[in-house]
Amino acid sequence: MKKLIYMLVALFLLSPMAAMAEDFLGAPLPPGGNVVSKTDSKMEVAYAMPYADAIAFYKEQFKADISNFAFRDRGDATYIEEYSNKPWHSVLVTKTGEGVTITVSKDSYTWIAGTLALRFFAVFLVLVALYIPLQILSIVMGRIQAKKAAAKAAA
Amino acid sequence: MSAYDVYEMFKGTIDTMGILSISWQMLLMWAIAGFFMYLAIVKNFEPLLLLPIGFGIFIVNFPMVPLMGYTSAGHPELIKFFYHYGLEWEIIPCVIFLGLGALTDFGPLIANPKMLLVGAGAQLGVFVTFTGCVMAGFTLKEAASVGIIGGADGPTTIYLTQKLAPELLGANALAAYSYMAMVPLIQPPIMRAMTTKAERLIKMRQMRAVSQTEKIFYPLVATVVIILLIPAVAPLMGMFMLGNLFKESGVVARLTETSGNALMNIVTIFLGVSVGATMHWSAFLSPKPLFIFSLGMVDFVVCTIGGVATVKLMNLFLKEKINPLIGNAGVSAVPMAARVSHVVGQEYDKKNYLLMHAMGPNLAGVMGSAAAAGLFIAMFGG
Repeated sequence: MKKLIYMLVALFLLSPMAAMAEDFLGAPLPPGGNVVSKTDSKMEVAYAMPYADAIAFYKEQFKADISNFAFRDRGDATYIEEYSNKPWHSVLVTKTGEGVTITVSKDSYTWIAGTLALRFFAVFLVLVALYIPLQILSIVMGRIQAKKAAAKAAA
Repeated sequence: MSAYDVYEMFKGTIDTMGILSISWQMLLMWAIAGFFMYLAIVKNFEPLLLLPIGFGIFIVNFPMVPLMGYTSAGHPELIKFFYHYGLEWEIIPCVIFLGLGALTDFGPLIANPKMLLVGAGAQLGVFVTFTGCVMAGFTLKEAASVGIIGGADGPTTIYLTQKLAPELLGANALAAYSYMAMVPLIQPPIMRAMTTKAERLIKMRQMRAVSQTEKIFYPLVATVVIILLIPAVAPLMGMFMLGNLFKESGVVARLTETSGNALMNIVTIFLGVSVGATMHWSAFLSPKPLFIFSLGMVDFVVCTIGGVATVKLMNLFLKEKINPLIGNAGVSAVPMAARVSHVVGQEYDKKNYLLMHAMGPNLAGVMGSAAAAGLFIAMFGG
């Protein structure tokens, strides 16, 4: 019962925020912030709200399609990445002294190409990491076999 | 009994039959199923999978069949049961990897570990296709699951698709296995186009003998390295290496035999039928699966190019040159791609035996595609 009451209170507290939410490129923003900077591809807004409330706001906003969002906790910030085809790519919620700063970034092929190149390189990295011990083993075993063959031939 | 009662009786009986509910879409799916069963039975293309997949497509496209839904008591129906516990729970691809491990001899890769790089290079198509899919409007998760088709590894494709885009499972699995079966048709023209005659005639030195001790250590070392770097791929790689350890240890012959034969055969039946059964006409007859099929082809081509190009690149730095005809084997598709390398090599020199050399990149391809899948899972959270 207690849980239900807490949930209802939380919903009540969050619902006006959700209802009045603004957005940038379709990414929701809590109302009432001060725009710090804005370009075509990025918008940074400062809020005098607790960090936990900002995260709760986004969890509530994205709950219907949560599997298409990744919430990456970075200690003093949470990086929210979006995986469906929305015009925006990420929302970064950063703790500041007074409240939070929310930065929304536009989706771009630069990000996709960059991350793919990095991951292709990572496949090499993984197999190179396996290659090194195997190559060492191969050299050692090759020498041992050559020595054995030489000893056999001498005998 | 009145005429109305008799009419109601007949109507009640006919209503429980499927024949009046059949649609042209179902008939079209029968034709598609028939095509894949034809490929399996007549052309012998990947029959172990294409036959059960084809039958799965066929049987699920009948009206009112109690196969992929839930009973009134809430229990999954027959194929839904296989699908739920086998694929949604991600069990079957891992069990297949256990069996594959028990059947794999890593000797050629241990003897020539440079081939690991070829396996990595051959994943190029996975990433190129990913980009193509995103540009075509697929979500990032869907794009990743389509991209992995080029890795030519059925269980990996199914595992990743089930995690990221289960709605594409049928189309992706079918594309993966169809193109794997067509490796002997797709790859040779690319291999010939990318190599000179002199390169095709390169003879590689006979590989050193690999001791049993090395073969026992290999799955342990590979497990440490791969899982430390990509923990997300632990279910697949862990089972693969466990199966291989069974085999190489030589002390659990019964487990090796079961993993590589009976167990793998059992789950292959469930895998094939369940994957086929996901292809109900309502989900399959749309532009997306057709697009996946066309992109799958591009994927295979680019992966083959990636493998051959990696060997050519390596040759710039190596004293002992590698025959670039083995580069195609980096796409996985074990052992078909390695056989293709050998057959194409023999066209130019009957005394050039490339099969064992090509097994190295072939096995590296399995690990490369699993690594790529693991990176996607890590990226999108699965």
